[in-house]
Amino acid sequence: MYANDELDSLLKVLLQECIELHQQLESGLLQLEQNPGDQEAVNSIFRAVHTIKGSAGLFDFAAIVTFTHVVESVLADVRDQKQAPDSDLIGLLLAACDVIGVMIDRLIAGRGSLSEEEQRNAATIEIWLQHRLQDTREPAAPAVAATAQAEAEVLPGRAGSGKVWHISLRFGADTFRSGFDPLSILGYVATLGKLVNVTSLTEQIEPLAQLDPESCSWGLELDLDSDASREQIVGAFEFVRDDCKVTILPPSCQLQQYVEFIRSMPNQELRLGEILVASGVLSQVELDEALHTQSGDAEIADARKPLGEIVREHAHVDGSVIDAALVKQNQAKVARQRESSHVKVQSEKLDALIDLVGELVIASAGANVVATQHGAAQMIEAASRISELVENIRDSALHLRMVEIGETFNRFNRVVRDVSKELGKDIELQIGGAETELDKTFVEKIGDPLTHLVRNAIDHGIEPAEARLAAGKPAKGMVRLNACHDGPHIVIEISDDGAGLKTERILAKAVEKGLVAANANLSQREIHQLIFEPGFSTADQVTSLSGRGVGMDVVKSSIEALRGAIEIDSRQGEGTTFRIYLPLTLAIIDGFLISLANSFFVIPLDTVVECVEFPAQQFDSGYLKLRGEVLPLLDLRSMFDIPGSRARRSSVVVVRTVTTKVGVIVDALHGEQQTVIKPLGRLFGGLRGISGSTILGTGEVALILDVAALVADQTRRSREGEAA
Amino acid sequence: MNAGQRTVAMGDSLTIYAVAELRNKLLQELATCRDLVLDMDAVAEVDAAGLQLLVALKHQALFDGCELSLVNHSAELRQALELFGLNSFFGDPQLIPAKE
Repeated sequence: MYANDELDSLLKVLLQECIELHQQLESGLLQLEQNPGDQEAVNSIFRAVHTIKGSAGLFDFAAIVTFTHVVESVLADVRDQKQAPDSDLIGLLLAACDVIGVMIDRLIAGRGSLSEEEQRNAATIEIWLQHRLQDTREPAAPAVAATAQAEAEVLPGRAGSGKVWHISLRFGADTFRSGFDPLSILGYVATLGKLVNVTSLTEQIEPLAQLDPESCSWGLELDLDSDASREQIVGAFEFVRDDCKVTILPPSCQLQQYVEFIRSMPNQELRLGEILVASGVLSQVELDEALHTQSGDAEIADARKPLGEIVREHAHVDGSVIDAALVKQNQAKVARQRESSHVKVQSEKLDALIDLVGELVIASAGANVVATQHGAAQMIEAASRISELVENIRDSALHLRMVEIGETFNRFNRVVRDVSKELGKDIELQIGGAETELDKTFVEKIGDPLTHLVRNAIDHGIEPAEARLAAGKPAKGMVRLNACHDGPHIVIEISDDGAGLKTERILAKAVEKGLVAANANLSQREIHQLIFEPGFSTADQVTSLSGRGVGMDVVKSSIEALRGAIEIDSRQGEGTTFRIYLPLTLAIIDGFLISLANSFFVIPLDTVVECVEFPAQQFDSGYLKLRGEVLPLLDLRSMFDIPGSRARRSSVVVVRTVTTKVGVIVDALHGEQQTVIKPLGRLFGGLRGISGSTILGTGEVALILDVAALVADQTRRSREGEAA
Repeated sequence: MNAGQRTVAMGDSLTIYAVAELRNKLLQELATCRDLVLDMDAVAEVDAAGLQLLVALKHQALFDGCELSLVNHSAELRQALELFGLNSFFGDPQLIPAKE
């Protein structure tokens, strides 16, 4: 028996695997829907369900086992082409896939059972699936007829009189100990007909030093030329059935069966030729000849023909059999490469590493300070070399947390499919920049806002087909997800080719709700921003998609919580693009250190445009004329109630937010500073304008300014001031 | 015959009952000798376990860079090798008596 915690960690791994399989299942189903003849997709779906069932069985999760069993049976029918994967069936399977997902989620949450409603839902789907099963079980006769017809398609160019059976044997380790001797079994088989070709899979036998001589590791591939019936041949292996994996391919075997047989071979990297010989498609002689040709060619020309091609030319083996063997060989290779190029690491370990790197950054800043204080040139040089290296380590450590956004994007295939079906719109999802990398934390947290925006685009953005045609657009709507790097930001775009935002309606609504004054003179951009106000909705009727309490304000605040920003670019009649700007990372930033009196602040360096001297005569006007432009000023001293009066020579740091530029009045500039962001305690959770804190090399604490929030705050206050 | 060569005569049984003992014996032989010849004349009983042992021995010899050859195959051994398609695996010449 396993110890409890061992069992726990095993369970965790299995559940993690189940989540991945569940995703595979979903994407496979969507793929199948696009391309109903895709046998590879069917296989992948089937494997996923089968493995989930197996894993659940290991841990006695009866509910999952029962449910997946039904799904598996239906899929087996699809695989065997007894059922066509029509859109009804796919819809049903997708629903089943969701149920499996919920079941897995429950297990992860530690509560095994479903709610009553979920149970009812699962039961309904199960009944529907059972119906589909019975549909195929009853009219069995025509299916058999079809197979019989197909069997006429015998493998061309096969050696022998067309009564050669191919038998594949893999003896279990206990064969000898159970008193069986493969030799005598083989001897008996030889009495049934003529053994045309026997191949022992000697490579499976360990060298003597590692061999357990009483354990059996024989594998045999035989071709038997015989008139015996299938029962007689099967009978030869009657007694070893439990110990031995027997595969028998009849003489009139279809091409497809050879292909499948090759695919079902244990995942070793066998040489193509051996696979072909083993599967009886080619004889050893034919292979030898082909091999000979290959090396002969090499002497003449440098370009070596792939063995597969030569075999095809010489022995007239059907291409698809060779292709299957080639695919198999490649799969084994790729699988091995993948294993060696990726290491799975628990995210906590990574987080711990990044924490440590953060401490290292602080410590090296401290060393720098001390070195500068001592003024020893050599020491300063050493310290700066160290901080350079630490910077590199910081970057690579943060890079470890980066994941591609593609997987997140792909999930939206399902969302778009479901929502557009629900609304009866025909919509295509395009995905771009799937390889853009961003911090794993973002990937987890960006899902909900993205879903909301995509749903919005489909629900409000894209017009019904008639309206689109009337406007001269194709009937099929388009939603596009795109991601790219832009300087210090990652930009995620959600765009549609719909009607665009209706500015008049938004304005009217905002006035009605008292969000803006009736005579306010707002720019296009400002009007668009209004949809992010709490409680704002222009949808004329509440559909199942809109009006569920999650508004655009929530989208905005959850993006701002990630230190990001969101922007709208909308053209009437042409479509709308939402652009989400996210910082590259959450944990460590390059900061710009400033101070007022004794308080230190850090401004994220990538927002700093320039620093200018604060002109003494421009005192309390609240703005600054900078090269002919008006620059609004933020007075941190009054905002944060910092004691003391303004220093004689103050400076202004010009910072850029996504939408605007402002100047921050400060007493002193201290320059660049690598900043490890430490979250503020819960006590300060409601604090606006401060996004975190950091520890300086001197040990002092500095607050990190959230400039965007400060600006928003200031704007709001001044508006209120105007209104009053 | 060169100096490093050693010929070992195998017993009459090359079966599951003998393989454990044979394994240890052959491992020892292989460890002390670069060119091992096995005289298979006396082998009267062969089974798959015995053949497996021979295959493993060949693998070990290849692995260690030793020569290994089988000589004087008995009829029983020849049949068994034939049946399992192993003739070319060992690559030893087999003398077939004229009377067969």
